[in-house]
Amino acid sequence: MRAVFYLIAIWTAASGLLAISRRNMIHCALALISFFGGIAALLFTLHADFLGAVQILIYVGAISVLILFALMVTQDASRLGDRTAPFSRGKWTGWILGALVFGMLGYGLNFLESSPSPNAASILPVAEIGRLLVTRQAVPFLAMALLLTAALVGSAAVAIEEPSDDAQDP
Amino acid sequence: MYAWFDQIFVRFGEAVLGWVTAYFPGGEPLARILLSVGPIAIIFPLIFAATTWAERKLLARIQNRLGPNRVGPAGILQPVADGIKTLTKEDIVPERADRLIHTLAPILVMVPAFLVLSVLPMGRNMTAANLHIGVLFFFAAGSISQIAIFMAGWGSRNKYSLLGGMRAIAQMVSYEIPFILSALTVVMVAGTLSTTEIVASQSLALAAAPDAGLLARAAVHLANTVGGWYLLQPWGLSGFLIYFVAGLAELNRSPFDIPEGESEIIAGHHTEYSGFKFALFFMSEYISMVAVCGLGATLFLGGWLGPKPIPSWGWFFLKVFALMGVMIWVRGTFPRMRVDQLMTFAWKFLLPLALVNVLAAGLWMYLPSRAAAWLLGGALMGAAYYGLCRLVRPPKTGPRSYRYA
Repeated sequence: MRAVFYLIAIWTAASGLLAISRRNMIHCALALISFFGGIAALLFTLHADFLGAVQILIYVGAISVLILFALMVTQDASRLGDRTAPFSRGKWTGWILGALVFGMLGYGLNFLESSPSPNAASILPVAEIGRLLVTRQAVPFLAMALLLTAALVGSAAVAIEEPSDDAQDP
Repeated sequence: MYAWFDQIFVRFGEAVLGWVTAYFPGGEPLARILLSVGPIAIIFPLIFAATTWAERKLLARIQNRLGPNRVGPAGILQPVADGIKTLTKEDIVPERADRLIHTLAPILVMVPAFLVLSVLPMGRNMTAANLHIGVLFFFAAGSISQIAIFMAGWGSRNKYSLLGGMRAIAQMVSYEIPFILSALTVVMVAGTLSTTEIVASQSLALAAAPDAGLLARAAVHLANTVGGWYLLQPWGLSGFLIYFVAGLAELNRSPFDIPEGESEIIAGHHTEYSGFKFALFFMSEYISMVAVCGLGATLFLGGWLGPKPIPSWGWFFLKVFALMGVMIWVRGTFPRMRVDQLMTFAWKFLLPLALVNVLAAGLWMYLPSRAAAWLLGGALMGAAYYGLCRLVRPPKTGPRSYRYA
């Protein structure tokens, strides 16, 4: 079990490094997808099957497609292979954001009662997760749904082309 | 006798397992894995081969042709000839293609195709991986194939491949929502994500009177094994139809085979693939077809449930083959849709209909009387279908006027 963990951890870390160091944008995106897959595998080894499956469904199946589509429609697709230098513009923003995320995660770890262990008993069953989402956690759940809807409407508003004046002519 | 025959594969597996533990102590976990994986890895490629032959024969029949008839009796050995042909063909990689991604794509596309088979209950006690989140796992693993298709489209560095890949992803992402929503209704009513428990929840437990005759007992047996199918409930019927249509789109099969529309973009994402790499794409498509039909049978048609003389695994595969036959029939009957029709159909018709179907399933769960649930649920689905049809209908154009020069 330990060996499996280390294998997946190395796989995930290597994918993450590839995602930020490759010069080819599509390779970066694919490495990021492999990284998401590694996280899902880690969740499976921790017996968090539901979270693992959702991680694959949402991140590997949906978010990654969003990233790939964003790449394809915002850039010249034929030149996607030979662009972008890693660590160029926005380097400092990246470092600061990274430090913030790590700080938040480290701070959050303080609140855990014990270190996470591959202990099946500590994982909530799926039905219980569902029940919590519509009872105790209903407000954050709805707030997130509202946020995502707002983001969707906003992106649609941005994407819609302004009708130009001469388009009115028959 | 029936019970023995019904469990013949399970018994065989147990016998092998007992033999392994007796002679190779410590080899049990490995044997257990091989016994789950082995049959899937052997049987489904065989089904794939048989399906290619059956599809060509059936399509030929629909089009008043003979179909394959040179290799073996009735062309039955055609898949073998095709296999040898693809194996011996030259493997061509375009010069400017991204070699790594181009090679990885056909390998990656096989992974979800086989992964999803592991959660299908193919008979009583015959689920390779009896996960408690089986249905979710099916959809999660299935969504990986989009990435593989994108890799194939992008890695080939061919405009047709790229267009085909983009079309495939756009289509699969769009149709995934009604696809999952239609399965959600079953999960709601059965109250579980496990495929095995979903099948079990579709069997009834009526008891025949002790002094009942043979005919009455047979009727009760039939009602127990068939009467509980979710297909026979209002939300289940509409859910199954939504599932089937969305499944056709997920599989990129006709009439939704826009990603590989030959007349427009050659063969879409497999334009630049030859030899066995192409065969891998072909195989993953057909095995996914078996998997989608298998889940459809599990969710709506009672899985392996069926009246007695036929064993449970026989029923499962009968239902799967029947659904696959309908898919081939559809391919021989309907013309391909246009891209704009495809998106309109997914977002403006199928998605709202699937949402209304969820409501109908809720009505079924909470209305006290079955008759009221039937009436209300049926009326709801009928009204939604009629209203959406009116809404999506393209604007009427007047009669065309011709001007001759």
